[in-house]
Amino acid sequence: MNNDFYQIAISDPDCQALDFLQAIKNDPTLAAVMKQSKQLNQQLSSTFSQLEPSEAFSKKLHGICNESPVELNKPQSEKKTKAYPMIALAASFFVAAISFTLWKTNFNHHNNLSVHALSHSAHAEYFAKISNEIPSLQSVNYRLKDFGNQLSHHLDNLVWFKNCTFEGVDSLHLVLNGKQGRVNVYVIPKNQEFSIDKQFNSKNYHGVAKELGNAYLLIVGENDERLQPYQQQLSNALISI
Amino acid sequence: MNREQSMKDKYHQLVNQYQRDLFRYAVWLTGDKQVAEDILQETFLRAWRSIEQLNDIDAAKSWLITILRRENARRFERKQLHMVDVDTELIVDQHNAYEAEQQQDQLQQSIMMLASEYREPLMLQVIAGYSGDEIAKQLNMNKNTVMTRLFRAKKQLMQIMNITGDE
Repeated sequence: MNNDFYQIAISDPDCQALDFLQAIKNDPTLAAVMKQSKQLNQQLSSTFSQLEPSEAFSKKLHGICNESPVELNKPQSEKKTKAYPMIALAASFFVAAISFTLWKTNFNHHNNLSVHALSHSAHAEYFAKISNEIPSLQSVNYRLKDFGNQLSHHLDNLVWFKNCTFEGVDSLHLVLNGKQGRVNVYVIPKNQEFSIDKQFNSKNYHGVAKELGNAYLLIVGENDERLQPYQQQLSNALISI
Repeated sequence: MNREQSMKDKYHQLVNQYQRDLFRYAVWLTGDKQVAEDILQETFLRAWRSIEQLNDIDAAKSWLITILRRENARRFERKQLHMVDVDTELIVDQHNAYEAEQQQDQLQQSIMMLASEYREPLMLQVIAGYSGDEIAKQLNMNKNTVMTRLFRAKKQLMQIMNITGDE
């Protein structure tokens, strides 16, 4: 059997190249290999096609265009047609000055996970608001065990969870259905390089932190959300392992 | 029809047409349904935000797969915890959800055991229906390399599945 055709029969049994088709016609062994390869493709296709996105997830995908702004290309007429070197230069200095200030601010807060939790909550607000799933206890515990904790029972108000990164530290982000909005819960492994405040807030969010064995638990909600009930709920449900 | 509505129609068309294939692709790429959904959400969010850049609807599949692969690569820019364990979760989940037959289970496990460099071209061939040339273009690879990887992936699966494929 020609080795090149043998490789094609396995890797691409639907190949329509004339010389390959002719070889198949002339060589029953090669034809049998091609048939087996086609059968494997069908089995694979059948295995893959068993996976279907859920209706709820599909709705979520469709909903994205209603929740998030599109980046519109500006019509040609709106585009700037003339360069103004002095204005551009002044703008550059302005941007540089602002950037430096922001950089300094970020640098000062770089190692504070409380600040990061507030900005992460604002950043994830879009997904937190549209998520409405009921993650299984098994799947949440599967992730939580990496942080030395387990849930003793299912949390009825848990609507979403995901692994995320806090300043390079892997953590777990849970979203609870709160009374005023969504409540974000972060489980972060303890790390001496980072500081954490017991209570913290920003313009729209506030949060509390507590220790949880070898991890920190940060709870962040909108400013008018009372966080104590969620602290209590999680204290009752989480067990160190 | 206004401009925004026209873009929304185009977006819904993309979701309807490609969500299944992309979901399957993401699940087999990541080995975890939850992670696959996260990646797919990010993919469609990015697609929506840049929908005006998509001039040719026929090029959408390749465009979306490129976004999805980038999203998947971003996961590895961050430190990951216990990546190896995740595969088992998918297999268990699959088993419970579909009560697949023993051979089907074996095939699923075998696919997950393939190195990702072999698994990805195979998925593009079977799920996306791509030819060797299209896979090579999508993965930015030489066609010969793609065909060799497809050959090795299928030989491995055939051996596991007791399909001879003998010369």
